[in-house]
Amino acid sequence: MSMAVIWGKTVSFLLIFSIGDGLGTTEINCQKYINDFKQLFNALPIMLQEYSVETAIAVIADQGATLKVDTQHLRELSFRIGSIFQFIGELNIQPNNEAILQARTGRNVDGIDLDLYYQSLQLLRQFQAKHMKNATT
Amino acid sequence: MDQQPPSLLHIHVKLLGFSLHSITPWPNNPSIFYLNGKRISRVEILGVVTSRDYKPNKFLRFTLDDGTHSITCILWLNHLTSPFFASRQPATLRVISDLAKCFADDIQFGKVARVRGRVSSYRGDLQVTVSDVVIERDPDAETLHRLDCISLGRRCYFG
Repeated sequence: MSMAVIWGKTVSFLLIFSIGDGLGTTEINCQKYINDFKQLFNALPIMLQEYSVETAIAVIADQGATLKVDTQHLRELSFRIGSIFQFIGELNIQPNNEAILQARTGRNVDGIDLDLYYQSLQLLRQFQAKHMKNATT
Repeated sequence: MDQQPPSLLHIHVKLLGFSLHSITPWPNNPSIFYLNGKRISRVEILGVVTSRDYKPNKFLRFTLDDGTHSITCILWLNHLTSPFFASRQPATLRVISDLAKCFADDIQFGKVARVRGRVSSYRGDLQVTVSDVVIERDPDAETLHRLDCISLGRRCYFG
């Protein structure tokens, strides 16, 4: 099956770990996204916990959950532990079931208002749900 | 007498990607689209540059991703060679051409860009023909644009 690149849907960091994000998205749906499409995942702004210069693997962490990010294509970005980063990329599931985000883009968003960011995401989801509902009626 | 709502036809309508992809073409004019029954032709969008296809002196095609959808944008760079612009003043064309080249340099992978332009359809897909680009450095720019779009959507576009 040919793989289609679709848009960088903003997903909850926890969704990547198949816990769900309150949108009713299940582990199966999430897995289907990954299998059927070369889905671009737009990870939320999250703090950098570790970075290896040798492997270009960054580890971002939020509330005990961690995600590895392969940053080999992001040569111009300076990785500083404790800074907040936002990545867009393809999520690859390794044979050992470990998820690695192959980053296409990344940026430092130090100074971002995270409370406002999450509130705006909630409003967006309500707005999108209403919009979709109206579109189908 | 009821006051007519202001027309959206000649203003840049702030839209999120998923809303932009919900618009439908107006049958009588390929440059006009329907957004929830209202006619629009210009949009303002904001997102991360996730692809970039550069043809020097021809065009820069790129995509913006705002987390709800990706949007294809085309920035023309052929103002000095295309017969389409032949009727314009040469001095004006040089200014427009130089400005377009500056925009093309600004549009780099991973940057957050605010783009204004005309909506058009190319081979059945929507695209935005770019007229103006601003690179955003404020880390809250995406959040504020999202809130603007939601507020305007509720009050003006979908209300």
